[in-house]
Amino acid sequence: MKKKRYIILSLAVMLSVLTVSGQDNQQKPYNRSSIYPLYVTHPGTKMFEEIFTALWELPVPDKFNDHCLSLRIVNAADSKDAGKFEEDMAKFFAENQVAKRMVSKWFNRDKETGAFNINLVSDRGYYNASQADLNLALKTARGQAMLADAGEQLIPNTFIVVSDVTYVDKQERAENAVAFFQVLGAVAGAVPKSDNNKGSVANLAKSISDLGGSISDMVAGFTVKIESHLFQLVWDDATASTFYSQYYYDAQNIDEDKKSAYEADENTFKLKYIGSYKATSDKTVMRGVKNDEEVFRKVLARATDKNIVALQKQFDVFKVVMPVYKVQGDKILVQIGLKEGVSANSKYEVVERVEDANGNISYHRKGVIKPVAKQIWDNRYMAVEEEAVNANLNYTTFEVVSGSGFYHGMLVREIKF
Amino acid sequence: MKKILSFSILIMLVGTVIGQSLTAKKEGKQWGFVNERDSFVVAPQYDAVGDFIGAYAWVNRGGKVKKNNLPVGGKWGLINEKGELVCPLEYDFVAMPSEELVAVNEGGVMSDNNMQGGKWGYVDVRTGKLVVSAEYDKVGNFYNGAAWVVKNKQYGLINNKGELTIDCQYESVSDCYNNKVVWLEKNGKYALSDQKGHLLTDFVYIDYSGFVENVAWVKNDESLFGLINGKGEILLQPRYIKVMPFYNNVAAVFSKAGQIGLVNTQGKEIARTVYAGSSQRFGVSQFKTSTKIFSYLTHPQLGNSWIDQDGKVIARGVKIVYKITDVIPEALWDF
Repeated sequence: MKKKRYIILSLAVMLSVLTVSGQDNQQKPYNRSSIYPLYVTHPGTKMFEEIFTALWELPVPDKFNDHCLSLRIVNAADSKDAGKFEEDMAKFFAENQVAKRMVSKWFNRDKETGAFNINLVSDRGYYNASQADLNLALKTARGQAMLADAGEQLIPNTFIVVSDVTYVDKQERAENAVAFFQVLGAVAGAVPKSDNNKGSVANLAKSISDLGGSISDMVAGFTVKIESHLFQLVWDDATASTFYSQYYYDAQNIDEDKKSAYEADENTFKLKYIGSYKATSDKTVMRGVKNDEEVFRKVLARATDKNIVALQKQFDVFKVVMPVYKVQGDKILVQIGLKEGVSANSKYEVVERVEDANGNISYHRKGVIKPVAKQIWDNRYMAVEEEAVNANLNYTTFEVVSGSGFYHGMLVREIKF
Repeated sequence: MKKILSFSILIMLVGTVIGQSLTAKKEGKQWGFVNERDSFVVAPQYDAVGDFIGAYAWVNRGGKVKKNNLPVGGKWGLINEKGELVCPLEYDFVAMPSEELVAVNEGGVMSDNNMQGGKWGYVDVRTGKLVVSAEYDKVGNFYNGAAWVVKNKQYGLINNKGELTIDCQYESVSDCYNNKVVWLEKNGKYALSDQKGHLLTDFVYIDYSGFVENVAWVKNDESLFGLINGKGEILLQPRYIKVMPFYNNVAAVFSKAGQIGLVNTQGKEIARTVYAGSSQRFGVSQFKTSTKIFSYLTHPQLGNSWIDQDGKVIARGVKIVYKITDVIPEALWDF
């Protein structure tokens, strides 16, 4: 790992690392990415209130650290003001200094004093750094390595997913659906002539039969289109160096000049656009759903989760890593499932996090695994209430494709194949 | 917020009864105690008695009683539920025991239900013996093995052997908390100390709260609140204009910037919002399908908000939402 040096003016900035915490009898630490889901809604359109309320209640995907700012939902621009969506968002981020606020959150900045601390960094990175030990010099190799690791593994893996949510009008769906039903009606009972039709008919019949009696047709058919745009916080050597040398100070060393300079800085902190994915929500199984609000939340949660999975598949930088939960004989158990997009065709690499005597962290591939058919955990939102098959598994079982010597605490990450 | 312990003689008058099994009853001119079957367990022999508070009741012989007043004169003692005198009838006043030690007064006079003058010491109810001689002008109850005492208007601290562990030199000394610390006052400021008078902080605080889970709120001379632990270490710097008591290890804090945050007893900020509201409370509510601790907040623009104890913010009744072409007001950003 390349050694990095940061010019630190104040000793109070220094981080003290003793050990990377990792209890032998529990899950070893791993660095999750951090995510800030931000939603864009369209007031004045059908179902706006229902969508808005449901979005407020959506949980942050549990395989990520929650890096939300106070602003969670914005309305789309008026059509006369709207440009290309990514450009509108980039302008919004710049004018509202969103990237800098996300850095402020990383370092727990106090808005009044401008002071920072490393509490969140140490919590998320499982570093055993004590706030009281801030004055210990980062001049120790271990301290520098810890900060470098946080700077490479943690903070750069911070993302905003902006999801533009629009309601798909029932009438428009109904007209298409009627046409579809009419076609199916003609072939009902007949032997399907192609494999494609066979799958579609089976799914349709299942979802019709599962419609809850207490949910209105309108709500039962609630469908949204979600376009998700992925942005990544830029945290490179230059950004980190500027931050630590020009802006960072702690509560014991208040510096009004640095405070003013940080607040005035409009150029250092940026977000980088990675890519987008657009999809329509799947049909919702009504079993286990008790009221309209649960329908909206279920549809939105599953749709946003699906978009996140698609973005992860498309963009390596956004992939999640998960620890190996257990090793049972020649099977490896990992607590991921359908929500993370695990399928029979998925393949994952298993990596080992290694720390040397100086605290430098590196990741070594140890092998490749794939899910065992019919043992994929259904951990999608409300899968348990839906009584979905495999909803109660609590993990997916994997078999080895290559490699050996796997153990609890190693990390897995999906790979393209 | 600060707690200054003093005897509550009113408690004697009101006679809060806890765990009572005996009831005072007069026969002739003398008082005794009867059980549920109305049989005397303690024969009528006293000129005045108090109700049992816990396992003890005060008794008086020779005093003069006016209606609804404590007896004047005579000698006081303390009996247990068997009628045994655990504190002999030798004193001019006795309080209720704390940690098996009962404060007793010698030489004082009861006036308007207040004990005036005299000196205070302590009797051990297990032996009936005076273990702390009556030499103090005022004394407090024993908590966690220590009690404050006053001599010549100066406060100090004694242990349950009567040893003066902190000399009488302070303007006040608080009760001893279960983490074995006390607050000392000097020149109108407070410092945290151990039971031996070793200072854990300087005399810099103008107010303090009691310890909960080994942490306490402190207020500095800028009227800002911070959080310290039982070692006097600062967990949160004083910067909050208002703080709430800890509830389930979580407390709300209000900053000058108009933000409300939630902090835990480790001094970690677990949530921060822009909802500096006019109403705020903690409560337990059925939220979705589970019971959660929550904080309810309001904001003039954003409407109402709920934060649960995990720091998750869920808004209700949002009034205004901004567009992606807007510059959001700084006050609405938490970072």
